Amino acid sequence: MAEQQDRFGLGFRPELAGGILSNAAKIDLVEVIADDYFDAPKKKVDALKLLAANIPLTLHGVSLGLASSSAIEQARANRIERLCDRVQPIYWSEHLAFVRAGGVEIGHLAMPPKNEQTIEGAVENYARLRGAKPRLENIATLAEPPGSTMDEASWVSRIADETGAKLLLDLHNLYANALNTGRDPLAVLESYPLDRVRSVHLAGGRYLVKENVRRVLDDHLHDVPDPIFALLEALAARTVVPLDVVIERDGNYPPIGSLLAELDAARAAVARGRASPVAWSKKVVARGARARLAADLETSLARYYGGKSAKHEGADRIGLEMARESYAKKRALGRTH
Amino acid sequence: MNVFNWTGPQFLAFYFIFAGIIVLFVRYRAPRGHKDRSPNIDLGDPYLIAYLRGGAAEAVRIATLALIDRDLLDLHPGPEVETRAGVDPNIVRRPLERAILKACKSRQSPEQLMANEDFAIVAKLESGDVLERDGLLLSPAGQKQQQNFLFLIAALLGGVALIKMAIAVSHGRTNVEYLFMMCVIAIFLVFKFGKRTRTRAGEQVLISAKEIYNGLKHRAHTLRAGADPDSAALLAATFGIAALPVYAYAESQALFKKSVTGGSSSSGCGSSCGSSCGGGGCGGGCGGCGG
Repeated sequence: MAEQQDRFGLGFRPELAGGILSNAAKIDLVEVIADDYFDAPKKKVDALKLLAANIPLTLHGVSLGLASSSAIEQARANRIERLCDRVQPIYWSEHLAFVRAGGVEIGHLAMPPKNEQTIEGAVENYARLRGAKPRLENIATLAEPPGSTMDEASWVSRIADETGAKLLLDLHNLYANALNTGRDPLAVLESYPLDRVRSVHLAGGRYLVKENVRRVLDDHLHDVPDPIFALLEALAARTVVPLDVVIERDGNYPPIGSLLAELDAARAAVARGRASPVAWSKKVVARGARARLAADLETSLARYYGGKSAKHEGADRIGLEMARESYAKKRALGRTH
Repeated sequence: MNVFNWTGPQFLAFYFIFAGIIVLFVRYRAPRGHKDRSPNIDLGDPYLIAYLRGGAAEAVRIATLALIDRDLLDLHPGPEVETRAGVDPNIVRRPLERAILKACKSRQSPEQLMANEDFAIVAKLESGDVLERDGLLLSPAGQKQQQNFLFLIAALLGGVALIKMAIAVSHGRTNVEYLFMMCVIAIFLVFKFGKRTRTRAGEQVLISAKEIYNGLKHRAHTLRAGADPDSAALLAATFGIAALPVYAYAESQALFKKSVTGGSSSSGCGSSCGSSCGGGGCGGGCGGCGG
C-alpha cells in the first residue's frame, strides 16, 4: 500500500466549483459542508457522489453540538451517518462546540464552558455516534466562556484522550483564541495533543473593535495571513503523520489563482516544517475541579447568544457582547443550520 | 373485452390514451449503458460535458468559444473567426482546440466551422469515445438496439391502428382518417423523443453536473470575457452558450445564434431538466466560528 502523503485542498463552495474542478490536478481533496445535504433531494446527493468520484472528498458537519453536557439529538447524528453511507467520504469531521441549549438555537458554533462536565458530555456524545467517527475540530471564540476551569488545549487534550479521536486542528481558530486571550500562539500550539492531529484548517479573519478592545474574528472571508502559515510550518515540524490541510473560504472570493497560490504556500510551509523537525512531547493534563452545572451555563449562554436574554454574568463582558453581535449577524445572513 | 369491437369514438379515445402512454414511456425512458458501476465523468473537462449534452457539434461550439475567450481566436465582422496572428496551434494541449486553430488560420464562418468533418472526428476521438466507453453515450450497437426498439414500438402502434381500420373497412366504415392521423402523429413522436444518444447513466451524470455547477450559473453575471475562461467554458458546456452573460459574451454568442436561442442538441430533446436547485443559498460554508 502506498504511504499516504500530506494532502492539500479547499473548502468546496458552489461559487468555486468551476475553478476547483478545472484545477483538480492541483487540489488533493475538497471539504463539503455536510449540513447542506441533509434531507437533500436525491439528485443533489447524486451530484455529491459524482464530485466524490472526481476528487477525494470529506464531509464537515456544523450542527451536531458535540461538545455539550447535553446529549446530541440522535436524529441529527443519524442524518450525517446516512450521508456518509451514501457519499463515502475519505473522513468526516465536526466541531467541539455547542450550538443549542435550553431549547435555544444559537445558530452557530459556540464554545461551551471548558470544564469536566463538558468533557464528559463530549465523550458521551462521541460514543453515541455509530459508524465511522469524526475528526474533532477546535473552534474560535470571541469570549472566554464563563465557568471554564481549564485552558483550551487542556480541554481538547482531555476530550481527545478519552475518546481516542483524531483532531482537525484549525490554526486560525487557535491563533485567534491565543491573541484574544493574550497568549503566544506557538505556545498554545505546543500544548495541543499534536500526535492526534490528522487534518488542518487554514483561514483568515479580521479584527473587531469594541470599547477599545480588539478581538480577532474568524470569519473565513479573508486571505490566510502569514502567522497561520508559520503555525502550519511549526506543526509540520512537530508531527510525523500525514496531514490533510484544507483552506476554508466562505465568501469574498478571490480568483481561483489566489486560492491555489495559498495552497502552494501551505505546501511550502509543510515542506519546510518536515525538513526541520522539532522534538515535541505530549503533556499530561490533570483533572480539574468541577464547576457550576454546565447545562445551566450552556443554557444561559445560549439564551444570551441567541438574543433571548439581555445580560450575562460572565467576566468577559466585551467578548460576550462581541460574540452575541456576531451570532446575530450570522443568523440574519441565514448562516444557520 | 375486445377493444377492436368498440365503436369509432370509443376506440379513438382508447387509442389516444394507449398511444399517449407509449409516447410518454419512450420520452422518459433512457436506455441502459453497458456499465453497471456508478457513472462518472471528468467534471473539469468542458468538452466532455458539452459532447455529452449536445454531441460533437456542441463540443466544437464550446471549444471555439473557449479559444476566443483565451484570445487565441479573433472574432471578425461577418461573423468570422481567425486564429490570432502569431499563435501556433501546437501550443494548446487539446486535440480539438488544435484542429480548430489550424483550420482557422484562414477565416472561417460559423457554417464552415460546423460543417468541418475533421472537427467531428477529433471530438469523437477525444470525447465521444470516452463517453461511450464509460457507458454515458450509446455505443453503435446500443444505438442499433434502440432503433430496433423504436421500430417495434412503431409496429405496435401501427399494428393496433391497422387492425381497427381493417375491421372498420370490413364493416363498410371508411371514416378512418382520424385514427390514421393519430397513428402517424404517435409514430412521429416516438421517433422524435426516442432517438437518444445518452444512456440512463449519461442522463444522471448530466443532471449531476448541472447540480454541481448551479452555483456557477447563479453567479454567471460576475463573469467577464477573458477573466475566467475555465469557468466560462464549464458554464457554457453544462448549460449552453445562452447561460453566459450577454453583456460580456454577446459577440461570441452571435457566432452560434442557433445555440443561443434554441439550444441545439444532436441527442434530440434529451432531458435538460435538473437545473432548478435551491440556488446559491446553500453551500455557504460554516462562516467561521467563535461568534
